[in-house]
Amino acid sequence: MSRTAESQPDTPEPSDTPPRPWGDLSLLATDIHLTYQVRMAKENQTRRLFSRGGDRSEVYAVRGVSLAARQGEFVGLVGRNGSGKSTLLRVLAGVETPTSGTVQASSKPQLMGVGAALMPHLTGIDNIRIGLLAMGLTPAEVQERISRVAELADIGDSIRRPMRTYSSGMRARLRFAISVAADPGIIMIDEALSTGDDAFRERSNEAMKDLIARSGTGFLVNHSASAIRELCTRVIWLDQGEIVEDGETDQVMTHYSYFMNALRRHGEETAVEVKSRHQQDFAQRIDDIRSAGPGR
Amino acid sequence: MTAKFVEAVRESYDGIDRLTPVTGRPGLGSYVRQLWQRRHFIWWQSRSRVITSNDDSRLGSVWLVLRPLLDAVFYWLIFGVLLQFDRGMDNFVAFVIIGVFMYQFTSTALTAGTRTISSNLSLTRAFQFPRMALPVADLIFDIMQRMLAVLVMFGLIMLIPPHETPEWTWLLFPVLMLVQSVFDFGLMLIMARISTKIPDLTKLMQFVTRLLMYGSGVIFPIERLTANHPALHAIVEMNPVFVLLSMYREILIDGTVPSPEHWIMLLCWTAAVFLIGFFVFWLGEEEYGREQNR
Repeated sequence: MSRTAESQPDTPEPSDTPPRPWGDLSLLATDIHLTYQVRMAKENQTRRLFSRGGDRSEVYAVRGVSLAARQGEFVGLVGRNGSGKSTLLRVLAGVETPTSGTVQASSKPQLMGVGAALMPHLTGIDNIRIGLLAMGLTPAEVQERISRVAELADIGDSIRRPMRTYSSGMRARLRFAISVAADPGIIMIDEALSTGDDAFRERSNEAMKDLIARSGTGFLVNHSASAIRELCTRVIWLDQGEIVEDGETDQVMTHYSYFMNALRRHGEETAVEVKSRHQQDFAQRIDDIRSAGPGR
Repeated sequence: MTAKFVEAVRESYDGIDRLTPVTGRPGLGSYVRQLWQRRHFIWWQSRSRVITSNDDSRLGSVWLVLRPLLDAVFYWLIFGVLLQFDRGMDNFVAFVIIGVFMYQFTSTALTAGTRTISSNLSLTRAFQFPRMALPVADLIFDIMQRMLAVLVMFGLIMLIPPHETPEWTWLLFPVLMLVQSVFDFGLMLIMARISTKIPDLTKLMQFVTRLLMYGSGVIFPIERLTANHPALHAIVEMNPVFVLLSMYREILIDGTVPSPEHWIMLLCWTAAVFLIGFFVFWLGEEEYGREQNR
């Protein structure tokens, strides 16, 4: 929209349904599978000294996920515990290599997960500096951004304390601030912000919206439906390592809440029934992509 | 079905040709370039580790000097005063001190290599950078820490009778130390790769470093003890750490330039270990951030 259009009062403002500025493709995952080799204890088995804990068995964490995301999209991943959300996110970020399938992206995704201190013995400031350098910024750029990162983290004088003394909320704040400082084209956030308080939630949401507005792409794993609804433009519902539904936030979140309610009140069987009602097949998802294309 | 999906994406969205894989290792050339680009990261990481490495103790960084000093006093007491184990050598104390100090350089590198990936997991998971930056930072950290120990070593061999006096061959010391650093780096890389595959190696390290210590003549002249076992003798003579330590002693105690055979053998070993290490570490680039399931 040009400035002259804004000055005309009688132009209908499309503020309710702003045109979605989807940009170019930024991430494409095709047929991702990830299998873990683990040991599984037999029923009632207690480990003895020289036995390994059970037999080797395979755990299918992700089975056959394909997805595409564009610039300006903020994709929420929902699903119950163990549905493969976090694993998929790590694969998309390139931190974990899938057993089969490929992930391609327009820039290196920046993954931000819950986790330990980066370098426990170093102060917050030193962690910021080393983190920014690790992401490939030059010392001059680091010098220029370091105070902005500290400001975004907003943890006061604690920034000069060793990171091992931080609370989990403070750690999350610092890590988030470092992650967005390098202006990643693709940011992926795994639950990490749920430890922050309200004030920080507002700041971090602001920072993420900013990033998306600058034609970035976001991925968010979070168990809070309100967080997903507030930030995401699109939601992917995963169950047992497969995509159940991929679509508009409102629609998918509504279906997902039916599913979770069914699971809570009536048990697994009814929930599976609810799930199958909303299960998209591959052809349908391909149609969705086609209808979203340039010819729309 | 997957092909149809990709086709639909290609037709509907722009920019599919600008995508690059998120995993996969870069070619050797661009790997080295990326590593060079991260030089500031490497430098700051090693620097801050030297500064904070003794934060958990009261004396703090004094330990950087105190530890090697205590080591030296210990070996001097045992071998110089108690055992009089000098077997006709003109400066046995210097022999032991040089052996112990310079060997520690290699043995710490071996152990550090097995830990470099596992102790930096949170960094690896959080940021994308060429993983070799971690062992390089470990090496630089080690060299910086070792500088003080080397000063202590020189002080000791000049102070303890029969006093060694500086000779022009001492100028070769930095050259030899550089070669040793490259050799150690190669070992570190090999250890780092193997230990992500076989974590049991960490538990074996104590044994390996001890074996190597006796096999390299760190605290006694191994080549005299193996004189009656030709096969064992040949192995010891081929051992790069043994060659390295003999060369240090030649330039520091005897004041002679090591023989060309020794130089050639050491340089060949160093080149081989470095190249193999670099290559195998680079091959495993994608493995280092992964959850290890065994």
